[in-house]
This record gives sequence, structure tokens and C-alpha cells, in this order.
Amino acid sequence: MSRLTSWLHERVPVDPEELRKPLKEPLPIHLKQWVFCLGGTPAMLFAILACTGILLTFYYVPYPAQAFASVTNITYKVRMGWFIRGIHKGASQLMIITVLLHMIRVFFTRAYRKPREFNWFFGVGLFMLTLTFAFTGYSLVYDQLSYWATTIGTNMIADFPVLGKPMLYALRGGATVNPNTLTRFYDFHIGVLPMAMSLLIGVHILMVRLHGVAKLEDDPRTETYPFFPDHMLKEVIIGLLLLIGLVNYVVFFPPGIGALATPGATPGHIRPEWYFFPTYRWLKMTSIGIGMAGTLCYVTGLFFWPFVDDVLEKIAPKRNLWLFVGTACYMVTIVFLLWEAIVG
Amino acid sequence: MTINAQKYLVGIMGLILLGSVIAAGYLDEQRRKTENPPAVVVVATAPPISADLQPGLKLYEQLSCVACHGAAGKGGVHNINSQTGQEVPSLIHVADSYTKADLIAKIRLGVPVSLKLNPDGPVPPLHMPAFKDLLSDADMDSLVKYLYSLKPQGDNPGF
Repeated sequence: MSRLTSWLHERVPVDPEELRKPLKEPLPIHLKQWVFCLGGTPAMLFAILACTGILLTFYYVPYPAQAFASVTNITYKVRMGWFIRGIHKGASQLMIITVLLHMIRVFFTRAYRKPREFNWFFGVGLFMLTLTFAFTGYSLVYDQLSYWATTIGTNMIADFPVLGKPMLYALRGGATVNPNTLTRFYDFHIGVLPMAMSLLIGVHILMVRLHGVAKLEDDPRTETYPFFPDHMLKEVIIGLLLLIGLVNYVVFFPPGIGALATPGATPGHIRPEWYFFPTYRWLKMTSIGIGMAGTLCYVTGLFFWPFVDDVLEKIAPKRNLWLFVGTACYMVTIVFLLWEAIVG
Repeated sequence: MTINAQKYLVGIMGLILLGSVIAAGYLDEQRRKTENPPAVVVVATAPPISADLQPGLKLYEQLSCVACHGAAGKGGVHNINSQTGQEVPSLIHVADSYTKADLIAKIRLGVPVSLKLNPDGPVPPLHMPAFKDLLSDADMDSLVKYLYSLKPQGDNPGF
């Protein structure tokens, strides 16, 4: 041991070998396929969002009279402001996509089954947090579309049974969308949600470590390979590929800004961002009561899916009911998304 | 793909990423070549005003006029490449420039497109929305009264 390492070890009494152990963790051989390397991507994107988000807070002013002007300033005046905002916006969209892809992979490989039910809960929680992040962030721009999306989005909360109205009032800081709403959304976006997200990501990774990676059903192979560098390299390659795509997308399509939010002047065509299209389409097709009840059932079903799977297995063993029900739900979601995107 | 091939791939991709970020930095210079140095837009707090002007001030803030025209209509919010000095115009002299009817018409119709200073430059991002029939006649009177009051003190407010 060199003098420097022994000096350091005396002050930080941690065995470096112990630290290296998690890196050497053996992984099942099926993880060599690229489709199994999507889990780390949202965490990388979260780190990018945190860095770009901090830079944006240097110039953003969370008050209606200045919010729009400050976003315009970031987009058109601040050095590399358009780039940072573009990366932040693009990374948030990519994060939703990659979380979804990861969830779909976990779903179709049934990696959520006993004893990993809790980690599925944390995963769904992370997905919900990602959507809440996107919604609160979109509202901060304070242009017409973001203002009215906030108004409509928060209006829907009022239709929750019993607690709807108090929740709406607490979230908006008043009966209508007002200056308090913007500061509350800002607090959530830069304070509460990042803390909750960091905590859940930590617990999610810890649970994977505690249980080990789920083995594929009906896969007889028992070989393993090390996490580092083999698996890590694949994760890095996917991350770099996304970053290159994102940076070039922002260079060719820099972010813009719509017209200033005007309370009272409802635009002709309001739509939420694409990730809320399925819910929006569903709400447009039904009454608000049925729409909200349906959405709540869907989210509850998604959350408790490991138990739903068990029940389906008991009803019809070996009939793969889980696959039919799950595929049907995914297909309906995709059809609603495309329907809203194309027809509007 | 072998581990060595993956390592090379990471190196190449890292270089592509670096090149892309440098290209973005170069474009940033291009984008800002015709503009002033970066500045944070700060809208100052409006000074206290008399009770009869309060309804107009409330509308001025509620309708977000303040976001572009600034506190007390002093302007100063940057509007890249617009003919009005690359800024949203100040409102402190509307009492001199507009009759009441003209001002009401302007508020109701808005300014759909801000004219470009440099025809080859970008479209100015800010334009005035048309408020159409959103304001009742009484509200419009309050708002116009407030806007007329923005004229520097010592002058006759107009009506």
C-alpha cells in the first residue's frame, strides 16, 4: 500500500475491495441482450435533467409577470440558453419513453413476480413521478398552451372523490390558476419531486441488488457475466447514443415558445403533451365521472399488477391470461395515443 | 460484440458527442451575433396608485399585460428582432398616441405579428394577443383609464 493510500485508508477506513464487490456482481447471461439494458437509461437522463435544471433556475423567475419573459430570455438571449432548455425538454420526453420501455420489458418478462412485487410498486411510483415532473415542468413555461394545460390538468383533480376539491385548492393555492400555482408547481418541480425521485431510484436499485436480477422464465442457462465492464459498457453505449441523438435534435430543432399565457383567452385548440394523450382521449370519449373512475382503475391495476397476475393465474392456470390482459391494456393505450395524435 | 469493440465504440461515440456539443456552441454564436449581450429581464414592482385606478391595474396584471409591457407599462422586455427597438413597446405615452377608441380597438384586435427589424432574422417571439370580447365595457374603461394614467406625472391624463 502506498503512503498516500494508507494515509487515506486511515482517515476513511473502508476496504476498497468491499466497494468493488457490487461492480463485480454476476448477472444472468440473458442480460447480454440489448433490450435488458434499458434500466440504467432513465437514471442517466435524470442526472442530465438535474444538471440542466439547475442551470435553468439561474435565469427562471417563478412569478406570472416574469415567468414567460424569463423563459423567452433563456431561449433567445442567454448564452447557450436555447441549448440547455432544449436538452432539458428533450431529456424529459426521453425519460418518459425509456421508463415506459423499461416497464414494458419488465412486464413481458414477468420480472415483477414474487418476491419482487415491491420493486414493481417502486417502478410504477417512479413512472408516476416522471409524469408529474413533466406536467409541473411544462406548466412553468407560462405560455398559452402551458397555462391552459395546467388549468385543465388541475381541473381534473377536482373530480376525485371526496378529497378532489381540497386537493385542487391546495395545489393551486386558490380557486383558479394564479401566482400561487406557479410558485407551488416550481417548488414541487425543483424541490419535492427531485428528492422523492432520488429516494425512489435509490430504493429501486437497492431492491434489485438485494434480490438479484430476475431470471428469465423457461431459460435453462445458468452462466453469468460480470456487471463491470461488460454490462456497464452496454448501458454507457445506449446512454451515449441517446445523448448524441438528443444534442443533434436540439441543434436542428431548437426550442421555441408560444404566445404569452392570457387568463380568460382560451385558445381554440388545447391539448396536453403527448404522454397524456391516452388519458385525454379517454376523458373526451366519456363523461368526466366515468373518465376519472376509468383512469383511477387503470393506474390502480398497473400498480397492483403483480397481484392481478397471481389472481389471473389462479383463475386459469397455464393459460397466460396475464399476457392477454396486459397486451390488451397496452394496445388500448397505444391506440388512444395514436388516435389523439392523428385525429386530435 | 466483444468488450474491446464496445470500448472503441464508446470512444468514438464520445468524440461524436463532443463534436455535436462544439457545433451547438458555434451555432450559439451565430444565433446571437445580431443581438445585445445576455441580460436578465427584470420587471420592477409597480409604484402605489390611487384607488380609482386599482381595477385597471388588477386587469393589467390578471391579463398578463405586465409580463411583456413591464410594471407600470415601462417596457424593457426583450423581443428579439422586433422593429420596436427589439423590445416590447413601453405604454407610458399611450395617452398621447391613442384616442380612447383607438386604444380599445388595439386591445381587442391585438398585434398578430410583430414586424421584423432584420427581414432575414428570426420572427420576434412576442406578439400582442387579441382580447376580443373578453373584457366588458366597464373593464375596458378601467384598463384604458389605468393605461392613460401611466403618462409621466404633470401631464393631463386625458379623460
